[in-house]
Amino acid sequence: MNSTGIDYLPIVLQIGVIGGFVAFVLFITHYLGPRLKSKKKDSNWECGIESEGNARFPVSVRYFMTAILFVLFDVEVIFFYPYAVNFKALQLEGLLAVILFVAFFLIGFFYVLKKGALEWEK
Amino acid sequence: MDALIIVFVTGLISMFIAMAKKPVLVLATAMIGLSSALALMINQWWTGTGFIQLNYEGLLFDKPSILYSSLAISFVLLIIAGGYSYFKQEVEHTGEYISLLIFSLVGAMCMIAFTDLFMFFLGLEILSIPIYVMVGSKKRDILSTEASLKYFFTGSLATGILLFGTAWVYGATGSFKINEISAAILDGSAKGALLNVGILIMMAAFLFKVGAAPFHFWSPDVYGGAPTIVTGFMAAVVKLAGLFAFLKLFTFTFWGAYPLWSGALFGIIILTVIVGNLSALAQTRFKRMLAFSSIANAGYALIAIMNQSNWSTWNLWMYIYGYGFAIIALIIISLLVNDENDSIEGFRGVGRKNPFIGFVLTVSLLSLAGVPPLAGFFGKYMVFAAAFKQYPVLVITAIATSGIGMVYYLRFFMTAMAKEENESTVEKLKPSILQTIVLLICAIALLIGGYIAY
Amino acid sequence: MVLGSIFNAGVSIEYYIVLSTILFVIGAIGVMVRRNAIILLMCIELMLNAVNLLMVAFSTYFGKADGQIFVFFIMVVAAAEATVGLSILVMAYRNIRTTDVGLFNKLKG
Repeated sequence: MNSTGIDYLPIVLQIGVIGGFVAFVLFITHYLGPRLKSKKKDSNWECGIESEGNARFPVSVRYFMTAILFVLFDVEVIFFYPYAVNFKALQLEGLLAVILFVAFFLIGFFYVLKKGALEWEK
Repeated sequence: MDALIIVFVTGLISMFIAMAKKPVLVLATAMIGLSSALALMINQWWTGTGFIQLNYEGLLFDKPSILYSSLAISFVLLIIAGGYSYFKQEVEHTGEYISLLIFSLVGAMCMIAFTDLFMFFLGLEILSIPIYVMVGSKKRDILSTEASLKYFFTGSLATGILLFGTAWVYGATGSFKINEISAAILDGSAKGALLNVGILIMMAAFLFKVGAAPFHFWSPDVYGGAPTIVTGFMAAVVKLAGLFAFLKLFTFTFWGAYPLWSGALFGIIILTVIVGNLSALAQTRFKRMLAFSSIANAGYALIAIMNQSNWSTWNLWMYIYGYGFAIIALIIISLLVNDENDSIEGFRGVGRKNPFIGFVLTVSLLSLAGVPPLAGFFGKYMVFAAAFKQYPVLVITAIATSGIGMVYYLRFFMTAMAKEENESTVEKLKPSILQTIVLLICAIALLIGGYIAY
Repeated sequence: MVLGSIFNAGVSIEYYIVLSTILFVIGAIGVMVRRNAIILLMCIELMLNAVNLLMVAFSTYFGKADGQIFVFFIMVVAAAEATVGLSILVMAYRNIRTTDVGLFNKLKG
């Protein structure tokens, strides 16, 4: 790793360009765009039907269940990475371990199905 | 190792068998599975090997681990049997309650038998996460919900702190295995500053988990809000696993850094026993009193960890033995009394109404207070006697504060044995056969404690 | 060249320790001062991620893989913990209609 300071120059340049572009666009839209002000314009909903009720209405808990179960089952995938990298070296023993792992996984999934956590209409 | 697998499979089976909506089946599965695990443990104690030879370097069931695991399995057996009347109230969830407690036991066993910090961390989490759920198992009860939320946040904060400490210790020693860490500390190859910071951070997290004094504020709320039987589980099994892991990690692994952590622990123990006992005096609710008493008891148990004796494993075991059985008996009596406000006054006259319960209550309270022929006395005596030479100030403080402890135990005892009765609660006092057996086992265990100690 | 001397210093282990300690402390302070339960959860995740960073840094420093394996475990356990925590939070929200932890004060004396 013999990188000298000059190798980082493109990165510095790019950071400069990004910052410059953001500042430039903010500046130019501020001055180029027309200014209109009215009561209607400043209200939350300037067009469409009149707003009614609270935006924070309760969502069905089913969405939540699905999301939670997704988080739970999704993260387990990272255990496959070490296995995938050492696929050849681990031989049969590794395969058995992964099969056991997936089996436990499926037991959990089976339980979720049996409990009806994924049924949308109950 | 085979016992651990049996316990885990028992948890799985009781989870699925609950689909049949017959709570008795779940109870039978759990009882059979846990009893056979206990039998395997005892077998391994005598023969030295398990039935199945499984080599996994992360877990080692040596003699102390077998002792502590058997005690943990017995506690869970008693708790499940005694709490069955509560679990079956909601048939839909009986299987979940029981299997969560069993999974938590799996975590406790990992935490007892660990030989590297991987298994320790996993065990701690497997122990804690089901308990977060179980504390909130009364879904419609605001207090239970609040306790669950508080326990979750304090618990995961402690986990984060513990992991941070682990990372520092790893940075200092370059290993997660406790032998290698211990060797690196002893031969001085560990980097000093990293190691010291890591050990102190880990100690703070541990004190959080076992509820010692400056980190105890969560425990009265959580113990008070949790369903009674879960309070018993936390007081008995979680404390057991936490204290033994503390012992294994500090007295054995961080042995080389003893001067560093012993000074900090010294102050914490004195603070813990004073705060725990004095706050328990002022309580009017049973479970809060139990919480403060368990803080004080954690303080006494920490003395065994401070102490540089070869016998500290055994002393701590004896201490937890006396404490755990007494707590389980009290918790089951409280489940029977089932006072809505959970007040100590609700126990008024319980002992006279039902002499058997009165007897068990007497034995367990006297054992907690440390009256001679009972197990609690021997536990305290062994811990204090071993530490007396090295830390006379500590032991004298502990004995003085356990005198304060005697005041509130005996006050509770007087209330329960009083002549006039609290009609509303005493009427309901009908233990099931299972609960009678559990109470009997607890009382016998406490009575023969002295015999085991010698 | 000034620029070169700054960039050439290399990232030594101390910087990782300082960075992860800063992240951890931000998380810990967040847990103590914020009142919204969901932000508390995020702060706990931040603490765990600070630990992950430190573990990976030490692991690279020692040239061993075990620290990285530990990070895998931390990530999975953190997900499991977050799942349970969010479920408890939903239950609490249904009962009390708030996620402000300051309002969970029924359990006193």
